[in-house]
Amino acid sequence: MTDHHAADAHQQADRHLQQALDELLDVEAGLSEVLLHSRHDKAVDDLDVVLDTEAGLAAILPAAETEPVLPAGSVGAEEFLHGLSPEALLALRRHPAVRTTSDALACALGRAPAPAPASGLDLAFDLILDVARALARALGLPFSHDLDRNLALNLARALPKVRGLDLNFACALDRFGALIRALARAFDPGPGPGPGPDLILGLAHDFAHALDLVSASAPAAVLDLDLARACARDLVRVLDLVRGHDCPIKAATLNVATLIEIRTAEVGRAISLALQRMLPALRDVLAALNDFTAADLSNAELADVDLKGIRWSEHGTQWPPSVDVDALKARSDAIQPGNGIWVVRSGTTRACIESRFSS
Amino acid sequence: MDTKFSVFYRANVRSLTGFLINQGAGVHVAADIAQEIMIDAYRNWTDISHHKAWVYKAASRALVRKVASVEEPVADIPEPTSLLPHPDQIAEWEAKHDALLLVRSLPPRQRQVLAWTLGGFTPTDIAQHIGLPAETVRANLKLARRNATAAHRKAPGEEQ
Repeated sequence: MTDHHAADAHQQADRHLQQALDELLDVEAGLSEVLLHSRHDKAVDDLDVVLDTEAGLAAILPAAETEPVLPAGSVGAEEFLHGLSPEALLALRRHPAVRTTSDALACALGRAPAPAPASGLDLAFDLILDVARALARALGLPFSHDLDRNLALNLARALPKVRGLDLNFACALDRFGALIRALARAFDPGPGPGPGPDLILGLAHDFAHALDLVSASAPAAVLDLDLARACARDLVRVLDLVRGHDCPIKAATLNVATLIEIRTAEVGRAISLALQRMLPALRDVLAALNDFTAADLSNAELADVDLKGIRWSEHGTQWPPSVDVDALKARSDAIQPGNGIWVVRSGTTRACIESRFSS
Repeated sequence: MDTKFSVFYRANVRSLTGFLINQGAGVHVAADIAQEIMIDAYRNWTDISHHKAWVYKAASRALVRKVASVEEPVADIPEPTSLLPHPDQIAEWEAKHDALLLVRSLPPRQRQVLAWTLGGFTPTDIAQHIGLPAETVRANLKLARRNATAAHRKAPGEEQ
C-alpha cells in the first residue's frame, strides 16, 4: 500500500514537472533548430539539379588525364566478371559478403523464400551493418560478415567509442552512433514516443555528409570509405522513402522494384569488396555471378562448393569426372525444355560426387 | 594528384556553392566563384596544406570582392557554364529550398558564422578563418540558429 502511494506521488510529481516544462520549452522550435543542418544538407545535395559536377571537374582537369567514369549499369562491369576464370568466379560466390547479399537479392527477386514482407527499417538495419563493416575495415578493426545481427549491431554501436581518430572521422562516427541509437529506438520504441522519420532522415543526412568530409580529407582514395559512402547514400534513400508512408516507421514497407535495386547495389558493393576494386553497378548481378554455361570446370575443386543458382549447359559446361551430371540434372531446373541450359536448385555437389562413386 | 583533386572536387563543389549561397550569393554567382576557386586550388594543389579550409576562405574573399565591385547589369537568366549547364532550373531549385535561402535573411555576421558552421567548421576553426574571438563566433551562432529557426517557422507553407 505504501509503495502504491509512493508510486502515485512520483507519477503526480512527474506530471507536474512535465506540465511546468511544457510552459517553458518549445519542443518543436528546438527540433526545428536541430533539423536546420539536415535541411541545409538536403538543399546542397539537390544542387545536383542545377550543377553538373563531372562537367565542372572535366573543365579543370587536363582532358587526357580525366578519370574515366563508367555509367551505372554499363557493360564494363559485366564484361569484367565474364572475364574472370571459372575458379575465380566460384571463389567470388563463396565470399561471405557476396553470399549474404546474393541471398538477400534472391529473396527480393522471389527466387528464394523471404522471411517477411520487405520492411524499410529492416533494410535500413542491413545497410547500417554494411556501413559499420566498411568503417571497421577502414579503421583496421575485425568485423566479420558471419556475425548475427544482434552481435553485429553491438559492434557497430562500439565504433563511435574508437579513440585517436582525426576530427572528421571522429565526427562521422559520432553521427553514426546517433543514427544507430535513433533507428534502434524506432525499431523497439519502448515507453514514450520514438524518434520521428524526419529526425532519423536528418541524422542519416548528417552522417552521409560527415562521411563525404572524411573521404575528401583522406590522403588517397580508400575503397572501404567509398563503399561506406555508397551504402550511406542508399540508407538515406531508404529512410526518405520510409518517411513518405503514413504508417509507423517500423511498419513501412518498400516496393519490390526499389528493394531489388538496393539489394542489387549491395551485391555490387560486396563484389567490389571481394575484388578490392570499385566496380560500377551491374544491371543483372546474379546472372553475371551464376553464368557457368561456357565454363571449363574440369580441373576445379568442387568438394563442398555450393552450386545453388548456378546456370550450366549440358553442352557448354565441362565438369570434373567426379561429378555425376545426371544427379546434378536431377537437382536442377531446365530454363527452357530442350535447350540444355539448367539452373541448380539447391545443395552442394557433394551428393552428386558421392552418387557417382557409389553407383 | 588528379585523382586526389577529383575526389576533393566531387565531395566539396556542391557544399562550397551552398556556402556561398548562404553568404548571400545568387546560385549562378556562387557556382562561378566555386569553379574559379577550384581552378585556383588545382593550380596550387601541392602548395596548399588544408584544402577545404583554403577553398572556403578563398571563396569568401572572392565573394566579398564580387559584391564590392561595380558589376554590369546581370541578365535575367545567366549563361550556361560547365558546372552550371541549366541555369534556367535555378528558380525551381530556389522555390524548393527556401529554407536555405532563409539563412540569407540573417544579419551579416550571423549569416557568415552560420554559413561556415553549415559548411562543417567548428567555432574555433571559424574564429581563425574570419579573425574573431571564438566566444563571439559562438554567441553569433546561437543567435543565428534561433533567428533562422524562427524565420523557417514563419515561412509560408511550413507545417507547425
